[in-house]
Amino acid sequence: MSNKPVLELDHLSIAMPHRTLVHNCTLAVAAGEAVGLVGESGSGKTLSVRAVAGLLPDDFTTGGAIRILGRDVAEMGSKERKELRATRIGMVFQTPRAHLNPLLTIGDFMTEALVHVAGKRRTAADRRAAELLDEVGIPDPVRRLRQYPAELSGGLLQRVMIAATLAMDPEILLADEITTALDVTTQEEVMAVIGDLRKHRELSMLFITHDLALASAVTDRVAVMQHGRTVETLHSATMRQEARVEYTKVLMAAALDEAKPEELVRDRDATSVLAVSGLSKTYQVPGATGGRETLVALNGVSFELDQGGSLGIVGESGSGKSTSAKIICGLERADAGTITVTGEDWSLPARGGAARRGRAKKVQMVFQDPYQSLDRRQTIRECLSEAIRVHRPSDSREAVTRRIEELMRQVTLDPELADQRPKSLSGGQRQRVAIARALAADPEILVLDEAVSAIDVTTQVEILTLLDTIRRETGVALLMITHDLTVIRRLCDRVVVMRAGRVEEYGTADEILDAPRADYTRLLLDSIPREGWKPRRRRPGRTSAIPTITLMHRVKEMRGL
Amino acid sequence: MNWIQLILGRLGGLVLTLLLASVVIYSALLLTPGDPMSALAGGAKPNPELIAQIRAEYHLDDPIWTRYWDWLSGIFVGDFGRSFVYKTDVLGLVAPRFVVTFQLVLLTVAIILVLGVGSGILAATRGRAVDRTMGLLTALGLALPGFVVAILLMWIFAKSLGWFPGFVVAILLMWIFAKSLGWFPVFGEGGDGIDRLWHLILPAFSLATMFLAYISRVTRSSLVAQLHSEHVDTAKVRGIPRGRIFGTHVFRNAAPQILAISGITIAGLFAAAAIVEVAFGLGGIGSLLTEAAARKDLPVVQVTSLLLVTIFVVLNALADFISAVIDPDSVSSGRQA
Repeated sequence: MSNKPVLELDHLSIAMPHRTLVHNCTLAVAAGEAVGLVGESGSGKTLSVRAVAGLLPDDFTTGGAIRILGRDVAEMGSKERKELRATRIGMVFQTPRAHLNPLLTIGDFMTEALVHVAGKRRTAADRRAAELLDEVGIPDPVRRLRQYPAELSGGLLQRVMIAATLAMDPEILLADEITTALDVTTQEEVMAVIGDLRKHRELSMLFITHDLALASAVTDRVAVMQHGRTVETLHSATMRQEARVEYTKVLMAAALDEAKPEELVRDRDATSVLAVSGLSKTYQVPGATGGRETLVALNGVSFELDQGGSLGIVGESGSGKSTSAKIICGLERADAGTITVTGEDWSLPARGGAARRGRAKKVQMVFQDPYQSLDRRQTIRECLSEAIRVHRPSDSREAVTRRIEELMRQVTLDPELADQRPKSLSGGQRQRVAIARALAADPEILVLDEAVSAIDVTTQVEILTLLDTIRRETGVALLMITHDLTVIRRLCDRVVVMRAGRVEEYGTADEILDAPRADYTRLLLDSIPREGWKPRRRRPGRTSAIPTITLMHRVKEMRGL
Repeated sequence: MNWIQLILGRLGGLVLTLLLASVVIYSALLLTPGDPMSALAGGAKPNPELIAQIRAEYHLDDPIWTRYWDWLSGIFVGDFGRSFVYKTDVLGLVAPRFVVTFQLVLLTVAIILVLGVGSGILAATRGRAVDRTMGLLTALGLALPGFVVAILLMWIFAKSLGWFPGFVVAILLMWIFAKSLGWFPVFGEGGDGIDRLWHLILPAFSLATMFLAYISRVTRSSLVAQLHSEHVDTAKVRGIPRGRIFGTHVFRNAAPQILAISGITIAGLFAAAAIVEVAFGLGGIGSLLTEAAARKDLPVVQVTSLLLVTIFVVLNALADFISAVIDPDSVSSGRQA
């Protein structure tokens, strides 16, 4: 490693017109080195990286210095700066699907910079594009070049993004939360690809993430950022011993696989509040070559949820876990199978408003994104009182006020926030409001659809602890849908592992997490970043993370067309 | 396979809509008050023989569904009926009028697309000041008829040029305006070629004002949405030249939306042209319709209305189809591998 850093941020500050967002971001990435930049959302890590890439809005101003290959970006002419960024820096973003133009083919995207920036000939660019796709382990690259982004899985698209940045042979890769939107197994694959590339190319990397465990596994050093300042920089390997700042210790403790599953006092002969048996669901989807094909979303799924218990449904996207939840909540209709809730048959969706309200009193749902699931015009008080009124239309005003106070106490929200709107709340506070709203009906079952996936790690722990407390106090049963096994360990006493519409494994959390029987469960467990974890390519040549559509039947084409 | 399905579906709906429209048009006019007899007899107090003769000639005694069927089947073989008033073939009456309207709409469309899309692009890309100005102008364009805008502009100019006696400026501007109006003929459709184009300029601009403002706003907002989209960030990071980013990543992605809305707008122009035709004394299909309706010339009204409905429905379907072709979703589902 040479001594001259490839990228150096020296007391970088970033301000919008009336507010400074980043106060002091200082870090250096040496040649061939990978540095992690870790912090909660809003800590300024993404802004700092966007400043390096030249993606800040026009009215933002920066202070301090950004040096690329030892040269201060601010001192360069705009043309030179643009060229430096285009050729020396490669940036990969969080959501590959949004960051690719949906109207251009993968080939157009791959060759665009080669043709229009480097001035290569079309045929040479095409050849190079195919080589690059091959380098990041995408099988059948020539065919991929003709496809559109919509035809590829998220994991593949992220590899396409990485391959495209390599086209200019950059010195450094800026990776902004590149695996946050991916399943845990796909995340491992993408990280393995990046690991290989760094080895072969002496590529430096600035890796932005909120996941400290992941950062320490794939980088050499980690810079921790809080409230717009880098508070300390640690060596990944000896992070635990080096950490001095309290905030870093909190982040480390928040890594969920640390948490011991709490001893659960379980009532062995508890009655089941929800029983699902033989649930099947198929969808008609447009086929590859015209006509229609049948997608089997659920295939004979059975599980039970005890009164006051907690059941986790784990699986990758496309495994059928969300479809199960939708059917239980009556948002979809199952093709076959029965659903029994507190002894009533719920196999078919409710008919009529009264029946729907009756069911809503028993099962409530909390959604993934608290930024979208709350009405931004409603104050918390309005939001909760609306939810209470649905089920108790004749309650007095005082009773409703009392209930609101009780709910806010249950989710440990400061009562003074009652008249705030979602805009002034943090992600964790919003999700508490969403949970309080669900509890307003005093339900038997709370369905949590990836309810903590969009929240920072530290807040995640708080919310999960809160849910556990609520379960103990109110006796509500929890049905937790997640792709994250570490969440399960914190909260659930039973687990269903799903894959491609089938139940792969079903048992108590201890059995499944400590002694998994199914290969797939083991794969999921091994993919979780932790100390000493190194990403591996587990299935060379695999085209998508896990085939999301397994059972495809060709259906006869409709006649007369 | 998907395309054939799409086209067949659209065609089926189109035919059904037109059939329904023909029924509504035919029956609604027969239900309106007033007797076609007075129009047919040419104003004179008709004697009984003449009435009987006319009723026989125009099959007025047949049941209505027979007459509807005769009318509709006649249209399919090119017989559009005879005008009550002019006693000539309806087709011969409508065809030249249609040409005028068609030319008017064509010129209007050109104005709308060039100025509307152009000003939308300016508003989206040339900074806040240009954007605000365009926003104000388009709001005016949407709210006010063209001639009011002209007078308003004069007043604003007079006010802001305060160091000059206001009324002098106003008179000057009015003089220039009247003069420039003089360059363009205000009345009639003129002869052929250049003369016709000359005559159509003012009507086309006054027809375009509102639609132009609308398309400008649509263009601006769909461009702004694309400009802030994440794939444009990707292109910027990769150092793609500005021009190419705008052409390939911004404008092309916004085009389906602009096109879809323009299509619907243009389809509506044929009907909206009627007002302008009457105002500027253009012998178009719209003014023909108002004249014929006033004189209870049923065959002309029916055929003209049906023609307008057909144009609207067909253009709408075409716009739908074109935007389906360039829409990203149908691109991927059409070529899924």
